[in-house]
Amino acid sequence: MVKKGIALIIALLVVFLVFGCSKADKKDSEQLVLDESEGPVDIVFWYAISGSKGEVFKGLVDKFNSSQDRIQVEGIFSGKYAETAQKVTAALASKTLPNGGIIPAGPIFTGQYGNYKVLDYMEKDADFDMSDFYDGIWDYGKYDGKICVIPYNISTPVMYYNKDLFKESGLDPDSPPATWDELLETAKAITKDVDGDGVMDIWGYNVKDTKWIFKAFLMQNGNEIIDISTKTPLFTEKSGIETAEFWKKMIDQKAMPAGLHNIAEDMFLGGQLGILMASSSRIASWMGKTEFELAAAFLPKGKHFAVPIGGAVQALFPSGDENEDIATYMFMKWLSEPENLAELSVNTGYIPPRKAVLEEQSVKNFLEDSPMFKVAFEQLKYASSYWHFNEMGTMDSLIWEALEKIEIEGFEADAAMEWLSNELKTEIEANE
Amino acid sequence: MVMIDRLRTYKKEEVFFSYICVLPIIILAVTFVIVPLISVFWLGFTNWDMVTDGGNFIGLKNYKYLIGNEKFQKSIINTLFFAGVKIPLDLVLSLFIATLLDKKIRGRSFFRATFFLPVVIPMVAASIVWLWLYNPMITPLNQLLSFFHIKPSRWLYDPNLSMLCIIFFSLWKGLGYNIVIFLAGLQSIPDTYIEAARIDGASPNKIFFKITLPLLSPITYFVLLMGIIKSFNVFTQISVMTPEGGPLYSTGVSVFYIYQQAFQNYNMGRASAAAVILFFMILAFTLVQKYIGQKNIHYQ
Repeated sequence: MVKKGIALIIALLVVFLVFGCSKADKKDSEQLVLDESEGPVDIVFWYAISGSKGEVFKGLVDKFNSSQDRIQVEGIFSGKYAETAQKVTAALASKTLPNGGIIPAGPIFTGQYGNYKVLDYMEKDADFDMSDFYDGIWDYGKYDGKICVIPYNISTPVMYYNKDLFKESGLDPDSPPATWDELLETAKAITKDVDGDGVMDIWGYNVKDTKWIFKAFLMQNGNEIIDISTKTPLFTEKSGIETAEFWKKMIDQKAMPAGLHNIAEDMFLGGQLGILMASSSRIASWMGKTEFELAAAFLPKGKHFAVPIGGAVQALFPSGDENEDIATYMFMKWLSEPENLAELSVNTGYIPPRKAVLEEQSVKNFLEDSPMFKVAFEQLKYASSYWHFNEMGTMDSLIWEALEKIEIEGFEADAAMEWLSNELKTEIEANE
Repeated sequence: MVMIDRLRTYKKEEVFFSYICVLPIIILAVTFVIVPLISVFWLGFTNWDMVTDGGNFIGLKNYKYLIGNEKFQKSIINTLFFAGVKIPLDLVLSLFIATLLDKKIRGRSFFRATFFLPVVIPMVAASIVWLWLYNPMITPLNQLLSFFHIKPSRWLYDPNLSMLCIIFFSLWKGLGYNIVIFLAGLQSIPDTYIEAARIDGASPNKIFFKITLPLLSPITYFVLLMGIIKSFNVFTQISVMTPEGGPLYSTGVSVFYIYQQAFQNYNMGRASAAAVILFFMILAFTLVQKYIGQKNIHYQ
């Protein structure tokens, strides 16, 4: 009896093995073929790119539609990042998702509920050259260590500076600060109280997108922010505390105003700020429009150069209809082709996620004409990212609070990082 | 009695037809108000993250978290502070201005329109303009102060001032609405009462406090009730003017906290629990008010 049972199990195993293998073999040889028997496939694709940049994307959709007659894409503007995130979440709950979209990066949209379909397709598709993308870029598209989206319109933080204020403060406008110490000294030299009322009227340095920039500093100091495999925050490591100490020093020595990050952009455009760190996506809207001479440079280096990645990603939402999913993938693949990415980059200033784009003639000419973009594009080689995880939004708001504790409440750097680390641990445990 | 008699005389078809007529609005109310309302109570006991189906039942964990959470406590205190400062000021100011605008003064309709104007402006647009006014670096407000040799202030970026800045803005924005309601109330008071009092030799002050104010009590009650509900639900100006809840969370009110938990941190369960607590707070205030109102409201 027992023998019979074992034999049965072995037989079953063999069947499974054979079946499994044949399935795997099939997977390798399987081609992504679109069934065109029922005419062109219609798909709906959202995009979270607004204004004139959105028009550029819309133009790409039209170009795709007119370039072939097998797939018809309906591009729908879904609002800015925050709005799109809410819409996708709502659509996810009500099961009314589009076929795909350019959506803000985040944990909730794909990997978190087990959607890695785009990775399946990319692996099956021999034409898709995944190695041409920067490594840091793929990390930006991962959830739980696995790629779940294709990064698309990328930006990184850039250091903008006001050349006129540099000159007024006796600094060389052509050599922006390249290290943390230089940043501190330069900013201190620019900060001034013009009318003598005890309140500074011109500040040396400030940041917009504060949480993002703080993460940039952490990375530059060799801190990895979070150990993603065990979900352990790393803020209290020596490198993390040192970073917070530097941040505090910028405040204490009047290089950066305390608690005024929300008006950093206004201050900079109003000529009241020497150096601003903000997203590279601002270049296109500011270039040639500021009342002072504007320039951009790499973020200064700590132990080494480093920047975090931001921007939106291409997501595929499985529709239950294989044909529609393949059509969506084909459109996403088309969007990722160097030629089309070049068109997006040149017209919007978004940083291309893959190297081949830089070889396109249009991009070469573009970078020749606008050196500020060159800074942003070249800086991408120092970019890295952590994988997406569920509490990444919570972590960002806690970073903001920890920095407020340093800037407004006068917390010591180690106490603030301790607080941040403990709060984040509590939040992560609460969700487990 | 009249009402009941009339109901009896309705034919069955008529009753049926009237139900058909109100059916669309009932469906809308059930779908968009009743069902969400009930599901919030249920979701408060789960850890739903808006992605997985429904989430798991976790009992009172969300409530325990909220009660022990410093930020949530702060949001409740901020809400009470907002309501406690804004509502009395709102009542007194709008009644005062309405009384003035009720008098036959020159340019009355101009002033009425001026005071009502802010109500018509969309909240977000108005908030953006005031965000600029409150900017401590380029603000016209600080320039004005420096004219009087007052030290410039940090307004929204000062943890002690930020909430007062929001309250001042909200007063400006909402005053016109209450003025219009009080004006309507004032005009509904028959002149005969006031004339009779005047002939009996009552002073203008006495007329106001002994006749006008008691006769206005239903209106005052309405304004107060709406004021409390609106104050507890304040959100838009907070989110536009202080996107992180202000310096040291000094302007983070309850609804803002709920929004952050739900749409930034994706803790829908926790947000629902917070919403339930807010619901019971508003309910309690309304009941207390109803009790006081029954004793003090005079319907002529």
